[in-house]
Amino acid sequence: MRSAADPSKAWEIKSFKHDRILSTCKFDPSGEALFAGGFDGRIYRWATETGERSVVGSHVTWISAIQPGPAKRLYSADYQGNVKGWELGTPEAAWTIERAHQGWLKAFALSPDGSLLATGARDGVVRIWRTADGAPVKELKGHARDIYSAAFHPDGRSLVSGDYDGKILHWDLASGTLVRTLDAPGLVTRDPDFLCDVGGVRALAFDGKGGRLAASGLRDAKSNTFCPGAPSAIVFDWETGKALTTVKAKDEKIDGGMTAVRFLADGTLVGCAEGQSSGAISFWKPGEAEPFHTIGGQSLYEVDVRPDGMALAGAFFAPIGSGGNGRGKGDYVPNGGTLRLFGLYEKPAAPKAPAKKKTP
Amino acid sequence: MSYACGGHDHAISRRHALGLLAGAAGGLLAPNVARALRSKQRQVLMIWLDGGMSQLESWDPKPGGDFGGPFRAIPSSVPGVHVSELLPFTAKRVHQLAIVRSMQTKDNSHSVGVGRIQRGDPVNRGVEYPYMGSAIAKLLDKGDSGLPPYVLIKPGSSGFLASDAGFLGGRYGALALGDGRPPVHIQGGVDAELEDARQALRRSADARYRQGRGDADVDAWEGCYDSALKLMRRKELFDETTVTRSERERYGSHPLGRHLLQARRLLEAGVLFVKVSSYHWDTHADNFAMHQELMPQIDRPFAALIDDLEQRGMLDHVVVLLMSEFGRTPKINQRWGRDHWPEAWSLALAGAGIKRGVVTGKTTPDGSAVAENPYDIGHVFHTVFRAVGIKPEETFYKHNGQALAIARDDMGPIQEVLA
Repeated sequence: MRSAADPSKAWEIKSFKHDRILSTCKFDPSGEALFAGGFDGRIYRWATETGERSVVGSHVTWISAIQPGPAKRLYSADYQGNVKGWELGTPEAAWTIERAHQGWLKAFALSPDGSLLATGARDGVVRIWRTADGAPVKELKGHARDIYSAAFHPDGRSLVSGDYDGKILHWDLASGTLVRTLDAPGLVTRDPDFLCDVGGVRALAFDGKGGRLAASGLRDAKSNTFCPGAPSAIVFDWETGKALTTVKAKDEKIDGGMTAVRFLADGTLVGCAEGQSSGAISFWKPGEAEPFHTIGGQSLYEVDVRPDGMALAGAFFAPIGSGGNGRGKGDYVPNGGTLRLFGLYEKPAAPKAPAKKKTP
Repeated sequence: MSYACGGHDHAISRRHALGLLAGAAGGLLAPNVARALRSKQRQVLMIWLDGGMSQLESWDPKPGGDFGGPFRAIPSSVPGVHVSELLPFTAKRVHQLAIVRSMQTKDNSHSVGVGRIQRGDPVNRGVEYPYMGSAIAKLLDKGDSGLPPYVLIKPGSSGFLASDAGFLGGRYGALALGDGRPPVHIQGGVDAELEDARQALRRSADARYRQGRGDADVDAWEGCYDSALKLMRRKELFDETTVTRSERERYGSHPLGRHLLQARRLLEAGVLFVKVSSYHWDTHADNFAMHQELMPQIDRPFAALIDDLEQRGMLDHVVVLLMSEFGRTPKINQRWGRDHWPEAWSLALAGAGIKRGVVTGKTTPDGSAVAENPYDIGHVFHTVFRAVGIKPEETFYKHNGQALAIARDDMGPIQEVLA
């Protein structure tokens, strides 16, 4: 019986390939399956033990977010502002909210008890929905620009939402009022030479007790074309709202945003990043800016921790055929994705083969 | 629609042209073209989105396809024609436009591509061809506006870009107005008598320097000074108090919006060729978030511009060309960017000599190749020349004893978009 995760000993358990980019991945609450969705508009379930893949359902466009809930339910959102609720095993959505928002919907969070969904999008409004039937519950207005991320506090009474301006708004759910604004200005770069700002609060996550909040994205962008910069996260003390630490990736070649953050049970921060040539999953101890361990690979768009805390999965980019400017050689097909599952403990030794008996 | 140079009596054969060659560099054969066109006041506005606007997020959306991206296609004002949902204002003006969805050019790098595209990808004749603005400045009569014929509005600094003119010589270069602002000389005001004396001294020095030297450098300097002098007399063109709040709102406060509004004012004042350049349309990363921010910067002011040109009757004599260096790859890279794609992209035309509400060319269902009517930049040069009334097959530059085609002689205009 393993007692605690040790990311420094992380090893790859298995991986699942897909022929389109996977934008998001989440563990089933049982930990026995991974859900993922992406550019083909479908939501898939991979059984982690057998690798068997099945289709949960589909949207009209790219999947932007999924949230598995209790009681074999799953919720999904897309880049045209639609939200769906699924009862796993039923091919049709249990309910659909058409155009829950105008424009793409990136911020998507499930309350700790699974009863509420929070959504945020380009229209700058946070909306709360009842997961039982998709009915609207509340609207929270206060953002000036696109909302990229949201997270419920573990106590279920508060919600945070992060935007393009680097603002994180703290909402009281019961009253629907804005409590305060946390500022993450480092996560947006403004330059008069850019055609637009680059960055935004791309992901938010609380630790298990709700004492710390991590907000991630891209710092110090150099342009609005290749958008090179430093993948970073700012960790806030929730009670005071004070920024405690700004963490960054170790490898400077990883020059994109930090696309997702999670906390392990011991307070270790996990972040995944994308880059022009590579990406990584990194691990930071509380209070430290430099990661103590990194898992390299292609660009990543989401990372999730298995409910038992002993494994994590990442949605990685998988190049197919030639890339870059122009057509290149070979068939011209879309790039793909890979789900990679890592154990956060020492890799078990392979069982020894029985020694052969010498014949007399 | 008739053209000033459409009659057979204006035609001039290449053989005839060769027979008329004169020795002067950068000359023009068929000067009657310019005289005849003058009455038509043909002008050109070129909107250059440096880098490459994604065709899939603009004129040629492919939602649901392998490479289509997350956005919807929306109906336009022309039945059956859809554009990206990122062009909601322009979608309502498609009946004023001609969209070419089958551009197929050669270079996928900026270093070679920009010059080649803006010079019309000429056949190598051992000379540097002029950019379109310089060509128009040479080929059309400047009219009597007293303004520089070729004005470039761009971010950054001002200056005189003699290099745009290529072999035509510096006098046909671009007067660049950094951020659309006038040259510093005219901002503060200069004593007229003192200025006349200064200019007389300058001209005297130029004439002395010119003796025994080539003309090109001195022409460029004089062109630059002359342009500044002309603008010094037209300060009102840059007086922002004459622009209404409504106009500013319709065009937007971002640089491209302000620059397009300034372009309209310069065209109204009679500038022959105005180019508005916007940089950084080169979304190798975060293409979709970037296009959400970038497209409104062209969508709304472009729609306002088309409305204004229409309301002022200017679409009858101004040719509008909206284009980039190339399109963007259908394939989405590891940072969700799109790279350079010359193989199948789109542009839009409007105005004088251009049909309204037409789409020509077609790409494959996944958008990765041209399926019908491939067109290169040479075809676009032919089309614009024809739209302003010039017949490229009958008009030649003369340069050091050579008759040089003004556009690729192995290509012709995009007939489907010519009125």
